[in-house]
Amino acid sequence: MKRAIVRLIPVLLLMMSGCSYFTLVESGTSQTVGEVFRVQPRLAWSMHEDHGVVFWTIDGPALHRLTFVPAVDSGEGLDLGFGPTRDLPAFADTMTPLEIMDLVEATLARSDCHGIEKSDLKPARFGTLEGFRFQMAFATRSGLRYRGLVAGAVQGRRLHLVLYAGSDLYHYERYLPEVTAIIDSMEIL
Amino acid sequence: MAAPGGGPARQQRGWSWTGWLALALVALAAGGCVSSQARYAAPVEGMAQPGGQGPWPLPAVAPGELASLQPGQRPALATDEAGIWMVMDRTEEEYKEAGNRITDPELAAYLQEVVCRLTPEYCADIRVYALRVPYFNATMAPNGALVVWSGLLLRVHNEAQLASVLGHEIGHYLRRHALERMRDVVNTTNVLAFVRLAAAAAGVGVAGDLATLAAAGGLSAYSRDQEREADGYGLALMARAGYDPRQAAALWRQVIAEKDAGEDKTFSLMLFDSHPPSEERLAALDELAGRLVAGGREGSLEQERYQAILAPHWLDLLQDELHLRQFGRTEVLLSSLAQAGTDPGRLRFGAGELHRLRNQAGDRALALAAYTEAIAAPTHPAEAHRAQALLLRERGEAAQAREAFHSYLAERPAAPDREMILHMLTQETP
Repeated sequence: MKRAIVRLIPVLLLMMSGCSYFTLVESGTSQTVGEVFRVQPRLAWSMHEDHGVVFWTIDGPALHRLTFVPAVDSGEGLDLGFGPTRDLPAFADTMTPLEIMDLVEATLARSDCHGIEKSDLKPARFGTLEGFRFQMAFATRSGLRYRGLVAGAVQGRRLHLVLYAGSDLYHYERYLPEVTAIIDSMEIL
Repeated sequence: MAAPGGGPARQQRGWSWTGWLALALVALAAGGCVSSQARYAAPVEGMAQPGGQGPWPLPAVAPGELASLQPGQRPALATDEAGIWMVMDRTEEEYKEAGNRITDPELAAYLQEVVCRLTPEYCADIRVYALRVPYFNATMAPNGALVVWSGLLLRVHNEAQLASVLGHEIGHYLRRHALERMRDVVNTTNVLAFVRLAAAAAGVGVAGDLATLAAAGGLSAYSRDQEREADGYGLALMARAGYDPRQAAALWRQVIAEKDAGEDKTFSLMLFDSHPPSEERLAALDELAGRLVAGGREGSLEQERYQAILAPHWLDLLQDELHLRQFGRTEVLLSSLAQAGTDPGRLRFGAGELHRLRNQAGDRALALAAYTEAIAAPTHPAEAHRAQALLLRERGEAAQAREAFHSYLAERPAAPDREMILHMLTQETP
């Protein structure tokens, strides 16, 4: 029996290498994300990457997450990491910030988010680019209500976007100052 | 625990007093009498005839088959029916908290009112939940939880059509068809599969998780005999409540036309999966409705009342539909709603959105024309100006675009994009 367990260990290790994992994002150090963004977190975060979507979390992705969506080409959809990604509405490089806000709303709707509300779309710097920010609120089908902050800019023919979403009850407000500082520290590489 | 007079569900045999109640309902609805030899709770005169003959033969109740549910009845604790009710009670708690539940108290009260008008005897036993799911469906659980998906609300033209679906589902409930179906699921799969099926009634998002769609359809897939019986109950309840029974077949024809226009032929409209609308079924609905109308039960449509109740939600439901990107089907839907007299301000805005999102050759021009027509109607949404402004801006018609943006901000002073629009207008000032 003991021998069988010992033999199983390499198999388990091999299997675990395919599991999703988080890596530490250290506080106070410059962090490069997706070879496009460089930001400066003040707190330590955990980073997860899945099919090119990078998000950071501290208390767990179901409670809050900061999703980085770098360099979306014209004709591509936004993978915000919230659900199914097939038949996503596509970004077009001619879109105004108004239409990009509508695009984020449509993307969340396709990801089984409900009761989506948008507010406070305004111009804001995104790194050195002239960009935009707006706020959102939505619920998952199970009824968990989130609030969100979206920041982004179009550079050439590409859209760069960051989406922060946290539970309306606690996490959104708790980490909003940190997230705002991270977005303010944004450099586009 | 069984209600007074009701024994354990599985031991019920033949006629209970609810059977006689159903029979009385039949007589009331059809204004005639039903053969005393009929052992089936046929809700419309002539639907069931001894020996299975007649325009729509139905089987007699087999020995041991469940009798109709009695008002206020709950199953005895020692039965499998009680277990299924317990699971559905828990699932109902999820409906209450669901993120996609439409919580508008006016709409909730209205749906409950229609149910109570259809079946005042069971008014307190049936609870209605409206969920934001952009497919055409309604499901009835054995414990009286009636779920209506928003895709159905968007499609029905009037209260009579809504009543036809609710009446049909109530027919399944009264005859405990869902219980039989769920028993089959529990017996042929396992309890976990059943729980998953029960939860599927809460719906899917616009992405249309196919497995969940199939699960929701599977739970409410009844036998043809059960469907016929529920159709009969639906019509009888409609007629008794004073609704036009011809609207049942009219609704099915609208939805068939829409499904035929869909780009994706495998795409499910949900209720088609569990309630296949065969020619035979439509003919039977027509014939039975004709018989009721000939008997003096022409009934009303209650179209204005229905559209007024739905108005605050209409644009949201249309947006859900457009997110599905089944534009051919949505075009047929909009055309059908135009015939039903849906407000042209909202309807033309919807058409504009359809063309803008489809974005094929000529669609931008069609979208702009539709927005302009919408704005000409006094009831247009403010967003029609915004959409018009974006298209005009795209065409380089800056002055008209500015004017449209200003109209939007004037009509919606608290617009979520006000600051950005003002910034854009400042940037574009020569």
